[in-house]
Amino acid sequence: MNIFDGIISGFFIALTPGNLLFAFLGALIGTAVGVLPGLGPAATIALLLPITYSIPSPVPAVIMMAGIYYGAMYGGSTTSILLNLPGEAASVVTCIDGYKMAQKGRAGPALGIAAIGSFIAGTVSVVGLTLFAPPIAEFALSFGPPEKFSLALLGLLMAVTLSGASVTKGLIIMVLGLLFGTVGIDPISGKSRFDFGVTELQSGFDFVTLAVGVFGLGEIFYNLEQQGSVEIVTTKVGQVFPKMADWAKSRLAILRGTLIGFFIGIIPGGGAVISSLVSYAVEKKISKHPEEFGQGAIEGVAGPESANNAASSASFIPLLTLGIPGNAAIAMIFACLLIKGVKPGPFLIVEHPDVFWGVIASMYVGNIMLIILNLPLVGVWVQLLRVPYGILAPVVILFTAIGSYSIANQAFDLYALIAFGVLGYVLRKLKIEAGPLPLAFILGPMIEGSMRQSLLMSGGSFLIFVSRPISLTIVALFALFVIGQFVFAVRRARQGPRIGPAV
Amino acid sequence: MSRGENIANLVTIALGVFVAYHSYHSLKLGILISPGAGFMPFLCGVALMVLGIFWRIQAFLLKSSRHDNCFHDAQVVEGTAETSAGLRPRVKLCLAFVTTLAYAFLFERIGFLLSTLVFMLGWQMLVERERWLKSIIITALCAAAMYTLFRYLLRVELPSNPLFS
Repeated sequence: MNIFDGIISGFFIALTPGNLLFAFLGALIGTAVGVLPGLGPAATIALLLPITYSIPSPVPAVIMMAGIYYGAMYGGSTTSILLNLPGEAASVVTCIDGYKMAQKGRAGPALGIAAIGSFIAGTVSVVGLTLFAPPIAEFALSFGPPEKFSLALLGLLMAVTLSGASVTKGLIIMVLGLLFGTVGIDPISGKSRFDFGVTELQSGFDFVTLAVGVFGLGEIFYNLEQQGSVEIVTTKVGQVFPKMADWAKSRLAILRGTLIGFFIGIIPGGGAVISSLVSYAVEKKISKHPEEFGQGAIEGVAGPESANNAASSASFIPLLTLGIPGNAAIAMIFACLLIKGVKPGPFLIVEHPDVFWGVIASMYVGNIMLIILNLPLVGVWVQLLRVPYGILAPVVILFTAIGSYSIANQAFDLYALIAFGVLGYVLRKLKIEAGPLPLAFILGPMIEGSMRQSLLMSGGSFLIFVSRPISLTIVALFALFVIGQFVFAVRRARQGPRIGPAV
Repeated sequence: MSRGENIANLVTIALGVFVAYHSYHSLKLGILISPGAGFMPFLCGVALMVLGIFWRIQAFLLKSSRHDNCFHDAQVVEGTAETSAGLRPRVKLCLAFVTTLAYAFLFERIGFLLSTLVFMLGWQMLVERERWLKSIIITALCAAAMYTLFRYLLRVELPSNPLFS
């Protein structure tokens, strides 16, 4: 099946009433999650993972989860602009100029350009996904265990180093994730590991329990301790469609943001947060009026908002073609595919073309739904902030508890959930990025399996990882990356510590 | 290194030592051509130990380079103020934790519906300090909505009360 036939068949799948409904639900929930601070896309997808058991086919389940992910990017801009309160991390940078615009009575154009930029970037990025994903998947078909091991480890290490402030702490969390992945019966020797006599631990921890515990329950515990409540906006939104002058200023920023977001999104760990920061820095750097940035420059909204949407779509490329999730939210979608019996990776396009093309086509449809949901209904979304946290928090806990329990119908999972919730809380409290934990947990068994297979193939020699061309290239890329990071760290240390915001 | 970080660091190193020892001693490492069940956990344990020690050294070097920095002093003062102001939220957090733990304990013992009612009521009364009437209304509405959603719409198998079943 070529790309054209594939995408046409994808549209036939995505446009069925059932799948349209799931795309709409995803877009709706995603926007809501983006608006509500303290509940990110990763946590929401984790919370909804158990529901996917009730959905008979993998296609609508993944369509909904994908919708939540890129929908959150749209919704996140709303509270950033109106309340100076980022609904999710990728919209932090939008606060700088978006909120200033709102203070000057230009909330409408800011929201408008954010939604339009997101739509353009999201759509262009999906076109890129359509064109790039099939050849990458075809190339990855030739990967054996050594290549899989090198690639998974490279992806994981890149995700760790790019996603958090401290590489050491990120690596500790990564190792912890790998360790949690080893709990239970070893598939090769049949020996039970770290079960301490608890029968329920012999089957290992469930991904859903870990993910909803760390991201859902941990987030709730952390937010409970935070003082202060959200103020309801009184800012007048007004006309949301930008004027020609705004459009003229923003169009190149949208284009640059799209390209930045797309290429950063492909890199594991790159994702929406980094791309929005890079886009803002680039816009400020090349602007003829950099002094306007921070005072309500529309390019400071258009660029980053385009970049985070482009990145969220592009991050599906490593997932769908290589089976490598690049960030926590994508790891949840990875888990969703596994729950539905679909193994993400190069064989996906051959074995499950309906999932591959159906999900890609649904993203075009989802982006159209999102712009309709976000532009005229912006006032409705802001009202969501009126839901008291005293009701929202216990309801989210009920979701996490029922979700974890329903997987194996055992009360043990509820205790495991609370333990992971405490872990998530501690990580938030210590300002340690929890993202690498689910990534390592989900990739752990693959890393261990391919390492043991590779050693068996080579007669116990680790040289196998550098003696095969593709694996050698990946290892060389990894070495370059480590050297680059080291040089960057040394240069930064020589310049001295920087106090204040990074952008 | 703050007190919390200090504890986390020691836990990391201790966990690394335990995992490495348990993997080597009980799970067995095997041979390189056919690594045993303990091989991967052993590597993880060693990595945790090394990274934990590295974290401590890093923190020590950072501290010694900053010891005369007034910015650091300002942070300490700020931290103290945050602790005293954060007393009430900490009680709230503890109550939330106990309520959630009680929910896990009661879930299978008294069934989904009853345990959810107890949890929601406990949350509204203890954590949120709402009035009786408001708490009862919120509890009833939320429990009914959750039961309908999971039992009838999503058809999730939920534990029923052993006395009623």
